[in-house]
Amino acid sequence: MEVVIDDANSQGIGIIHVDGRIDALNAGKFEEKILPLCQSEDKGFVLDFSKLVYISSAGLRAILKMAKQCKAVGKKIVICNLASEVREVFTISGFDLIIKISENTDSALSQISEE
Amino acid sequence: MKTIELPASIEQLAYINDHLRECMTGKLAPLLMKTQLVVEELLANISSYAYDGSAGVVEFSCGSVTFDGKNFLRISFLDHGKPFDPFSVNLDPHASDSIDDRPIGGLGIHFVKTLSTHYMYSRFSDTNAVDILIDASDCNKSNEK
Repeated sequence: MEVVIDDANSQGIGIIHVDGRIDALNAGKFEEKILPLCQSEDKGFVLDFSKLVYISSAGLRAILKMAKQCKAVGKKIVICNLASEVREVFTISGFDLIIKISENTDSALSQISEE
Repeated sequence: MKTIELPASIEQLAYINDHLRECMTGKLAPLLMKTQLVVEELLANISSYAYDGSAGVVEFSCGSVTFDGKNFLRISFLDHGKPFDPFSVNLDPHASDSIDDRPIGGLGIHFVKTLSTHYMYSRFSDTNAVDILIDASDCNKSNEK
């Protein structure tokens, strides 16, 4: 798993690119990388999962923690570019009810900017 | 079905995933991600709860079976820890659309139940047995094309 954080865009929105798998073996490291972002200056975050090929409940727990912490400080998060099998995991988990999921990065950025 | 015996630790996940990739070539390949998800969640459950932190073992097997004349992928876990039916845990993740109301844990067994066609728990002697059947009939159809 590789996590690259791009917060250089002019909209003040961080884009988190995740490559590979998030499972029980590396979810802790994923969490360590994303949770501190909730305290950053960014007004929201796009989680770009275009290169995410697998996620289990361990990875979803990290995302839920981030979503809870971001909500507590008024930041928005939107997930985008899900492959069909990964999207199924989000649907089964009901995460599509509690976290916004967008088709692509541009629409995800728009959703955060407009709110 | 080939059975492998491993320490009951989530650290064995990479080894089991390698084993699944080797076993699930050909017509079963489309089920690989779903199977890895089910296997990870069950192994995580055994790793966390079966032996209360003490060392223990788990026996894992995976392979094609027929059940009532239909083709399935069968996954089996045996452990010798304390009695525990993982399927007794119920979570409805669609019950609320609020982030605040959503508990951090509990999703794993929900995944197993949802992605399995049949799931079964039994306890005999000192052994917990979990058996999963995942419908593989579509795999055979696609193979016939």
